[in-house]
Order: sequence, then C-alpha cells, then structure tokens
Amino acid sequence: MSEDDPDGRRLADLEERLKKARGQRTEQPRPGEHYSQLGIAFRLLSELIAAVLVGGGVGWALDQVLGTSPLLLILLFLTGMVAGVITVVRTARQMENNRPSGKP
Amino acid sequence: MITPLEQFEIITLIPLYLAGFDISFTNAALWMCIVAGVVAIVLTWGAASQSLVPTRMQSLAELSYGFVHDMVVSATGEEGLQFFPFVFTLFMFVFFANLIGLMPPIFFHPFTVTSHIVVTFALAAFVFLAVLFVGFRRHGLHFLKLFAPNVPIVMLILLIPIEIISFLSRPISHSVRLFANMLAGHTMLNVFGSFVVGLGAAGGLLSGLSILPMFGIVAVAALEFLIAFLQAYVFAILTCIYLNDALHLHKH
Repeated sequence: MSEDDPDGRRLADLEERLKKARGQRTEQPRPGEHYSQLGIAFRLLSELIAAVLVGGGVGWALDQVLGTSPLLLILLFLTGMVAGVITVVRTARQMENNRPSGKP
Repeated sequence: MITPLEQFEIITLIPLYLAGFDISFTNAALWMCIVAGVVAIVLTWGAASQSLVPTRMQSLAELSYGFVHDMVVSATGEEGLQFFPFVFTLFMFVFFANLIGLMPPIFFHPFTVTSHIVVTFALAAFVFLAVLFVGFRRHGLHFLKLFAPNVPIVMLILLIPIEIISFLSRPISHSVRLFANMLAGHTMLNVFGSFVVGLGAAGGLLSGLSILPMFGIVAVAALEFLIAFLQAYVFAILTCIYLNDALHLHKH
C-alpha cells in the first residue's frame, strides 16, 4: 500500500509530537491540582466536622450497647476532635505537596 | 404557605411495597432514571460520530472522558485505571444530577437527587465498601496497617482509635459535602426568588427595589453552576484518593 505511506509517516510524526507534548505536560499542573479555594475550604471543613460527629456517634452507640454512659461518648468525642484535626492537617499537607511548583 | 424547602419534597408516584418495606417509585427515583438516561444518551450520541474534527456532542463526551482519565491517573497512577469506569460513572451521574437540578422550572419542577443525603450517602457508602474490598483483596490483612502509622508501640494505643475514626468519617464527609452544597444552593435561590416577589408586591418605592434580589439570583445561579461542577469533581477526586489508599496504602 504505497498510498498509505505518507499517511503512515504523518501518523508516526504525530505520535512523536504527542509524546513530546505529553512529556512536557507532566511537569505542568494536572487537572487535579488547581481546584478553587472554595472547594478546598469545603473539603477541610466537612472533614473536621465529620470526624467529630463520627467519634461522638460511635461513642454514643457503644454507650447504649455496653451501658457505660457517658464514659465512651466523652472519650470518643475527644478522640474524634483529635482525628478531625489530624485529617485536616494531613489533607492540607497533601494539597501543599500537590501544588504545581512545590513552592509558594 | 410555600416554604423554600418545598422543592425537596419526595412525592410517591407509584406505591410499591416489598416484604413490609416501602419501595415506592418516587419523584427522586424518576429523576435518577432521567439523569442516568440523559448521561447514556449524551455519551452514546457523542461516541456515535467518530470524526476527526469532533461535533459538539462528540467533543463533550471526549472532553469529559479525558478529564476523568487524567484525574484518575494523577491521583492513583496508571494502576488506578482499572477503576476508571467506576469513577467515570460516579462523576457523570453526580455532575448531570447537579446540572439537571439547576434547570429552570418552566413546565415542571426539576428535582435535584443529590440534594438528598440518602442518595449521596448511598454513593459514598458504595465507595467506602469498594475501598474496603479492594484493600483487603490486594493486601489481605496488611490492609490494617492503614490504621497503624510508623510510631512507637505506646503511641499506637492512642493513634489507632484516631485513625479508625478518621477512616470511618470518610463516607460522612464525602456525602455531607455534596448534599449540603446542593441543598444550600437551591434553598438560597428560592429565598432570593421570594424576595423578588415579596418586594414587588409591597408597592410604591419598595417595588422598584425588587430588582436588587433579581441581580442576586443571577449571581447565585452562576455560582451554582460552578458548584455543580466543583462538587462532582471533588466527589470523583476523593473517590480516587480513597482508592489510592487502598491500592498503595499510605506512603508518607
């Protein structure tokens, strides 16, 4: 298929250029890394609150089952607060690492 | 009295009962079917014409495919691509549910399925179970190391409950974020709308003032479109991040 030849060459050329373009793009910010401040704020806030709620909820449920009210509720509520802060710090650090340049 | 929350009311369309459970076909179920149908139509239509210069529909389908593909690769690496169909389905469903809920109520009132925590929690719980399944199948009991960071044994007694609570809170924050955003946005639009009507009916100088909340509605509606996309995006990227934990455990 001699007619196919120029097309084949063009395809190979395109592949080459695509590869080059892709290689450059890995250095640039990918779509995952520049979501807006609003999204970041909502994510951190909900993580903080959810951990406290889950801690309190699990503590309350265990209290009901074991009849140790209100010991576990208090303990796990406090644990939940710590867990919330740890989760938020971890998420924030992850976002910081994912920043395009790595430096502010 | 019409309240701003009336738009979230669930109406039974076809009453159904199975073994004592109420499984009636409601307006929420109807709109979920519509969302799934619209996604299927848009994507099959877009995939039908495979021209080199894409048509609008083809471009829409290809862009969303490429967008989610890049997101999965950047969050979980090439290995995570086995979950691409899962993440793509979630993203498209949430995104179209958010968008369809924003349609102006001209002939009928669109229902935002993602404004109900039952729906978003079901999606988040599904992701949670998927993470557990993938984690235990890949790593066996080593998956439990996710709860034990590299610290002295004494600290573990304190840290393991914290890690477990932090892990259990994931589906909650995952679902509440999406549901609260949609609920708040739609309520806000409705409240601004009632300001326009209320001021307009007040008469005199106050009627002229009703133009101000009108501008407010325009601004809030624009913000809602941003949030509709943003929340679908955040939902999908968090699914990727959680799946990444299951695939590679913690690497930090």
